[in-house]
Amino acid sequence: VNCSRFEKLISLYIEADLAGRKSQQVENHLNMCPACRRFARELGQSQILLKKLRNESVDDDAFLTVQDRVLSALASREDCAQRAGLPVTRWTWDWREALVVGLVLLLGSLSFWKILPPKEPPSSLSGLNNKSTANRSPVGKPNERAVAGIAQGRSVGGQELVRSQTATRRKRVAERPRLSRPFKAQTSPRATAVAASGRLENPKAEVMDSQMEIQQALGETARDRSGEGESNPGNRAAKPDPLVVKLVTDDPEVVIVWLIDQNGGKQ
Amino acid sequence: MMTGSGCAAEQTPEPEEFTRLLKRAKTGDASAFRQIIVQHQRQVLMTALRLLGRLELAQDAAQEVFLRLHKYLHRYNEAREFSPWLYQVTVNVCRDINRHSRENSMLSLEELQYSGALEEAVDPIDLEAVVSRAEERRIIAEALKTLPEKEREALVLRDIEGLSTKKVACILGSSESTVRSQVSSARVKIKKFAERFLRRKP
Repeated sequence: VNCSRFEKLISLYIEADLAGRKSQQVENHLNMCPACRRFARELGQSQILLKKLRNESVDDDAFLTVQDRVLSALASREDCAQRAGLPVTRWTWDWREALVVGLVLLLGSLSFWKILPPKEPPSSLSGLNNKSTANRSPVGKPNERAVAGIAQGRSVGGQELVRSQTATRRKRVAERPRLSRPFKAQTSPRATAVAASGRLENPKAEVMDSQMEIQQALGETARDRSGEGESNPGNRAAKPDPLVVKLVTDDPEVVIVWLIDQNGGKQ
Repeated sequence: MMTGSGCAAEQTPEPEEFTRLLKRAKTGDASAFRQIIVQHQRQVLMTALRLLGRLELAQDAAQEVFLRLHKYLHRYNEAREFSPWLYQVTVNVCRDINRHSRENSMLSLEELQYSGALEEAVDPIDLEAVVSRAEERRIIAEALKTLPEKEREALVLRDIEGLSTKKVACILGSSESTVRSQVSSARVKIKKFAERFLRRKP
């Protein structure tokens, strides 16, 4: 008989933790094995000592220390809550109430987004001009200074020109393919033209398109200048009109206009 | 965290007086909560002491148990038995403390024997004299420290706190057969640890 197999069974048997059949099996083994009987006797003694720990205690001071620490921690928590203006009473919501409140908040926020009107685009172009020139240096190239001049209202008729040509440009822009990426500001005039016309599928085509627009705008400005010169030659001799370069973005309301000073930006 | 699963079978209702005390404490009555502490501090502190092996750690554990009790008291259902619930919180807190203080963690019996700490557990002078009953208990307490955490929890609740196997299984969240296996293994280890010293008695 393998007695080591009975060690754990004996430890359960002496505390009456074994069921009937196994208990009988251990009892039969103990009757015929003196070594296991001695093991059971010694185990019984150590169990008696173990159970004596049940009656042991510690000093009252140890309990008082715990009491004081708990009550002072609770008092300081309530003080902090009162100082912060928080209610001392605890929440008594269960998970069902919390779920209902969460659903109401979710539905409320969804309905709010649905009834919220779409954001209106800005109606004034003067504000736009200010925005489009704000990130450029006013002391850079002459044409950049001219743009700054429009933004500051020094140029005559620049904004009126933008407004008058916006309606015709809208139509053209509406026929263009949509942007695949948002507008990105760039510094050089050509790069700005590309960016203003949008990131199209074919980058070469968009550069050409922008260049054509620039040339068109230059032609219109030249024609305007020649007509104006015929009607008022004295004025032209005194002060040549600036060239107007207009760039159209995918947004019909956004039109960037360069006024190129013919005097090299000296005026 | 503060709920016990499958422990309803062996429940005995709490006395009416204690139920009233709990209701008062739930509404924020500080004196009622203090009475609950006084009534249960021995259970909490001594269980923690046996599970952790050091009074300072046991006091920390008891403090945390009562603070958690205060925090989650509003979730407690009076239909359930209070004492097993409190044992469950105590065991969980002691596990957390043991996890966070590895330097104080208990060595296994094998590690202790290998390191020679077993030979130093009892003062050599006492080995020559008759080992008093207090010394015997001290040996058992030292032996308890050498047990693995799960076995120590099962043995403390079953043999020292005197709970039934079913309640111990509920508190520890394990099956009765697992508890029986842990308890039997722990009893044999305690006996083997103790006999090394008890046999030296003249």
